[in-house]
Amino acid sequence: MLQEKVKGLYRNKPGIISFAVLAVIMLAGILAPVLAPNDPVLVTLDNRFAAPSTQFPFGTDHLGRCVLSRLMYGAIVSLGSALLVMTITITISIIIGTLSGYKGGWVDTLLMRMGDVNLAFPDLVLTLVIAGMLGPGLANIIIAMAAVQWVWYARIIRGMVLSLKERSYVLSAKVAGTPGWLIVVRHILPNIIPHVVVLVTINLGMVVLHISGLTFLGLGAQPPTPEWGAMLNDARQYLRSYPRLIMFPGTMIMLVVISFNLLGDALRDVIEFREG
Amino acid sequence: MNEQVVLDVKDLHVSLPSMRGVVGAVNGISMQITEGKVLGLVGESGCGKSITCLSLLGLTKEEGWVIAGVAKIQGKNLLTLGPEEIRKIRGKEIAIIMQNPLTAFNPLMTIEQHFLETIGSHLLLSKKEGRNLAGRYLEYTGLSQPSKLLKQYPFQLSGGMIQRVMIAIALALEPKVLIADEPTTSLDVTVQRQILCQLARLKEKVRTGILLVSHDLGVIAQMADEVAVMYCGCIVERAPVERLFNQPLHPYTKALMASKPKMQKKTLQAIGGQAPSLLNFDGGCPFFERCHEKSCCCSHYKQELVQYDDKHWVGCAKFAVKQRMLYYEPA
Amino acid sequence: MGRFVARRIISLVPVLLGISLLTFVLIHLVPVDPAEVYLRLSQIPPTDEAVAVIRAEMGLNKPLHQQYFDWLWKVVHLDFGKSFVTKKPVMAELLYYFPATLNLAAASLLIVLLISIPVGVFSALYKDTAFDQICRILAFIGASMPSFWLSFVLIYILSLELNLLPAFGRGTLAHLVLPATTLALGAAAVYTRLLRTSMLENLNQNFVLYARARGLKEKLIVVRHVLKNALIPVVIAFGMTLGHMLAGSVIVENVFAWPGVGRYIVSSIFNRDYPVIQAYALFMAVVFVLLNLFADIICATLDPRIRLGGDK
Repeated sequence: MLQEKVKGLYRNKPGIISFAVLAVIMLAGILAPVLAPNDPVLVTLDNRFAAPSTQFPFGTDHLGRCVLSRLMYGAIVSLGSALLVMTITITISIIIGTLSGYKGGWVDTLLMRMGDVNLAFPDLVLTLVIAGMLGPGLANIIIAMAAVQWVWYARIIRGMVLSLKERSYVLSAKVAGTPGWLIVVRHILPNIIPHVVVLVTINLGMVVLHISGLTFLGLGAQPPTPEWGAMLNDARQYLRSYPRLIMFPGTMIMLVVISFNLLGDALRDVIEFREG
Repeated sequence: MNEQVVLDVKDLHVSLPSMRGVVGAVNGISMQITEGKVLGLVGESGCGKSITCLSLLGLTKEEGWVIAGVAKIQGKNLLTLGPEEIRKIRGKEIAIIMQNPLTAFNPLMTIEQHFLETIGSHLLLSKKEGRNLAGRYLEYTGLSQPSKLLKQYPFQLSGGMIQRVMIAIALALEPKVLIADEPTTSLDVTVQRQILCQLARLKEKVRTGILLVSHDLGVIAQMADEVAVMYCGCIVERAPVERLFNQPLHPYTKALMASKPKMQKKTLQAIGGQAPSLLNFDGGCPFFERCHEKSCCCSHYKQELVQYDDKHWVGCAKFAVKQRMLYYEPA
Repeated sequence: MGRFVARRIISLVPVLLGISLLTFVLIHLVPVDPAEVYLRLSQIPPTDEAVAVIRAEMGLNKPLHQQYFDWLWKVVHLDFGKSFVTKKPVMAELLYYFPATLNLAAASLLIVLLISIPVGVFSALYKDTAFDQICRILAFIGASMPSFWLSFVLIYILSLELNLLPAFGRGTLAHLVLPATTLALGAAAVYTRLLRTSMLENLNQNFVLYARARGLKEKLIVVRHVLKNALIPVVIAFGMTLGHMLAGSVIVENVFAWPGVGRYIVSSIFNRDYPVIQAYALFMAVVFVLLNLFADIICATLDPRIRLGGDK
């Protein structure tokens, strides 16, 4: 079963390519301390806006910092924080969603009411406001995004649990006297997780977009941290004379978002096709 | 004979592409629909009944579909008409009653809007005249309070009511031919009967020729004047209704009759085996695999209808003229 | 219809209460003492005494529930307090900036409609043709494009290189083109896809076949039977999108120096102007909820099943 799915994924070309792209970017980020040609935060004012050269393959920015190095270090900040947001979000929402779906009771009522209120806000507004109250900073943005998003995921997971709860194998496990936590671990979670993985992959692109957007506004990673949204913000004043400074981080963000979307679509085709 | 043939179908073929080759869905069927008479088309599901109906209305024009043959109505061949010409015939000359009345109506529109758009597509009538026409035909189909009904939405009506509405819409333009594709299959048995009686009465009134498609022999026996038995896209037997029920000739027809539930028999007789795949159909006897009466020469028999007597036609090797000669040939 | 609207409005009451509760709690996320921030912004040294005075003035010493009810009472009377920075009523400030944002969002909405309806309809009708394929690829890219980056690309090409349109500020209609387009493209991509799928679903419906069988003209079938049904999920999503556009304009307004709520809120965040942030959240949520209500009402006028469902 699993092997078949892996094979199915293997045959899905856009899925494979986008996975490779993401892996390369992620690796470049992780290995940046070894691979990067220059120090990403080293300011050399007499070398501002240098054209691409062997020393600075992508040139330098308005403070004479190496663009390629900043892009590489930025990968880990942009992608890493997106992954962190998703990890926090999913951990909370699996725990609460499963509890609420399986046990019901006050957790369930509370979750549903919170969901109603959460849905009444445009996501970006709530994130912006929470981040605004906490003050600028990458950590605060991560907290704000997780705080806004978990409710949505928890509600979806709750729905999945509710439908799984009525399946015959869960009912028979119950009749056989299997304790609730074991049913959840053995029968419910394994069935939920593939779908959650698909959801997460599709939405990771969105998270990357939002994080870089908020950083672009100045609310996320603070200078001189290399982050793609922040790099765009730095470059905006020099749009007329040095448009390439805009092109590099923008292309990176778009590449990552497209890759996550394609990978998510591929995963969904592979995982959800058979289960209909 | 003073009976006028209103729709004359000759050698209709419909084939469609599939992943593994060409599927012959309809393989050369011929039939005549006569004014004021009902031709019953009977057969198991998947034998090509619905595709036959749709191709007569020019509604099978999908990519790769090949339709051949002649279907003449008032001297025009339906199968070669351009899109606008066939549109003018649909609903006006040939009307249809569909299988699932509940899903056939646009949920966002009132019954009146359905009526008016149909009438308006073919006649130049004012809204008021259209409304009157609609009301009159709704009354004919036995629906009370037509003016109230016209303002209602499809989801507010029951299955039986909406099927009557469909009949009213179909007959309002006094078509030459009415195709009734499983008109009562999705309805309760009690409602079924009422609807069929209504249809029989209206047939007399409008003098429409009806092509009644059903897999239900009971419905066919009750309604039809003549019956054509369809199997795997071929008509295997055609006869007046009483003749067919009393003296079926084709082994498939016999098996079909035997599978009808009877009071005195405890068990249902099923037809053994499965219908063959219509992929790359070669024109041989489609019932060969399941037939209890097959003989050596059946395997190279080509499916065609031969006249058994005055009004009875059958497509089986046993009755084929050429093949009959084969029987007597010494081995 | 009246009953539907009434039911829908009554169902908003608990949601609005939830919104108010959440917004009230927000101010307690602030890691520092708002009173101190207030004093600093007012150029007053935050001595213990001064802080104590301000805290009392803001009602921060009262029990939490008391604070909530006091605050709610004021909010119901549209009093959101005063900005720490300008010392003007927040509500007046928001209403001052809001028209520009609304203007921008409405223009984008128009662009979204102008793109997504024709493109969605035609790519469904001409499914799998070159036109459809190109539109699908563009829609996919459009949905993945960061709006702030897209805006720079547009500014660079149309404004700096070709000198066709003004890049910054608000004033003439020409000023509106770039920000509205930037804001619109992402949503247009989403809607084109949604409408295409929805059209294809409805094209396969039995009622379309029946409409053809009744001899209706193809144009009439597409418009009245397919498009009208296909628009329902799109309209429902539209209420959401307009809200997201009002929110998403934060970035676009900052790029294009558009004097709307979005720019105001970002500068307020940097100024730690907490009453403004709080009011902004409440204001946007209420606008969002009302837009969704509006979308539901439009749907009900389109779809008798929603309108009459309960009365059957």
